[in-house]
Amino acid sequence: MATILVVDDEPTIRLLVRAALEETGHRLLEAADGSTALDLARAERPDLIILDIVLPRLSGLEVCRRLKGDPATAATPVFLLTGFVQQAERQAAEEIGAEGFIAKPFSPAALVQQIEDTLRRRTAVTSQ
Amino acid sequence: MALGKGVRQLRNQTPSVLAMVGLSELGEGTGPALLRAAAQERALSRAAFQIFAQTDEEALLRVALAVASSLVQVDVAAIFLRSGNNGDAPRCRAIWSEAGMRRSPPEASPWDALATDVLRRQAPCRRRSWLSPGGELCASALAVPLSVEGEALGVLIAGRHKSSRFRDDHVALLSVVGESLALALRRLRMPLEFVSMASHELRTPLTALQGFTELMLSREVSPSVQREWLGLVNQEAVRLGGIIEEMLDVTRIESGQVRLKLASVCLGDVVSRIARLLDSDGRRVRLQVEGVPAVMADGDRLAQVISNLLRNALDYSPSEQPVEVEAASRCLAQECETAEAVDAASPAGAKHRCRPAVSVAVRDWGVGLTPEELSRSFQSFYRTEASRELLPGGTGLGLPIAKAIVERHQGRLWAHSRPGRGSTFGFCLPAQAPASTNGAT
Repeated sequence: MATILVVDDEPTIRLLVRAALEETGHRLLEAADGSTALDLARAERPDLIILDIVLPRLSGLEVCRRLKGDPATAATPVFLLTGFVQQAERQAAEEIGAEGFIAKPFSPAALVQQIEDTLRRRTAVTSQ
Repeated sequence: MALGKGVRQLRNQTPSVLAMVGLSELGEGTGPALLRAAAQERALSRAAFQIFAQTDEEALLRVALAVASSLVQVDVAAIFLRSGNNGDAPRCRAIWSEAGMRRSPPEASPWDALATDVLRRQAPCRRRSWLSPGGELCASALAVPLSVEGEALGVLIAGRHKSSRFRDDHVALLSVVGESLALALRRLRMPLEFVSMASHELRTPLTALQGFTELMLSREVSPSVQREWLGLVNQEAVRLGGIIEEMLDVTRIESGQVRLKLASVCLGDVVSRIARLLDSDGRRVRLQVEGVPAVMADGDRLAQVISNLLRNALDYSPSEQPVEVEAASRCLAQECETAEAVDAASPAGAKHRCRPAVSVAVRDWGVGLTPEELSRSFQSFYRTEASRELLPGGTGLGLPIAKAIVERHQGRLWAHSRPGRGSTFGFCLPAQAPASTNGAT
């Protein structure tokens, strides 16, 4: 079982991610804004973070930059959730070390698949 | 932004710059100074024409740099643009140097302290040393912001190898280039921005529709959960319809495709009706609508304006706070003397003075807006941090629609606001009916 943090200001999207991950048995944490997300990530050390880019208080990109800059959270994979994947945004996300993009609208099954693949790769790396 | 508006705005600013250029030179011997001012005037109007004639961003930046370097003697010039999200460091997008135009800026453009500083302060700045993104060391630099309607898009920096200080007229000239470049950039980006912002707004409800239906099709779900999810699907479908309706509305009104159905309208009655609708138990809205004369207007459209303003006031202030709606036969915009009055039609901060037939003001004691947020709040899809937090489902189209409707009535929408203190949004309608009864078609 892994702990996953989902950050989105839309309650409906958080509920959707929760519903999608229900059958995997993972523990889900939720945050509706950037600063709460940072606090939760530091306190709870999730195994993976799904982060919306457009957020109140701190943008998703800024949250990601801070997570990657903090040795305690730098290794945690971050998926950026976004309505529009533009070249500039993709480049910025790569530079600050995000592991991937999930474009809205997304298929819940594909999201679960992507999360499971990343978690499995990560377990494989840490157990070597 | 229409090309016409950009050129008009530029034309309005040009005389003051020329006056400044001329006057600052008079002390040095009038003849040569006047000749130089006249030459600068010609160069400036040619520059503006060249800048506004560009139809793609790359070419626009190249032309702006060439123009800047010809108006103000420089060895290096560079344009830094903000890359999307607010708060991100500006990136170098184009460089010009005496050695010849470089095709593209360096791959990894280094962080530029001067550009970041000017972007934040939104005011011109002279420095004694600056290292260009191309690695040329300058002993004198001048940076001007590229800002339009309170939004900083980027920074233009000019540099000289020798330590000869940029004069005040150089600051004025480069500022005009910066302003025209910002206007031209905004005009080029606008359709693209509208489409990408629109698609962003549409994607959130679409995600819920696709996601929950897919989950229901792929697994056994208990009837109660099914009901809950269907409720969400329905809610997001309604929201999707609402966004599309508002998008069409703002596009139609702004492009003048809406016919106003003019009739004698008493705004006092409209205000009371909307207040009853949005505040059914009459707990929050306080009305002051005595003795308001009737005007020729489109009552349904004005109801839409008042409803948008009142909805914002109710949503963005604490639920125990009242909201005041006043309608009067004098301009209500000047009542709030302490706050900065921003006129939505010219957000440069011009105080609004008029003798309207009727004026409506909606006051709240809610979160309020910073001056930058206030001037951007009339842009389509713009939403403040606080509004995203308080009302995640909003579209950021209510105010642009209200502004467009009021302007179709030849009226003006205005606003005052102070962060943490609350906002007043209102409008004035002139005594005479809108010029053409049917409107542009």
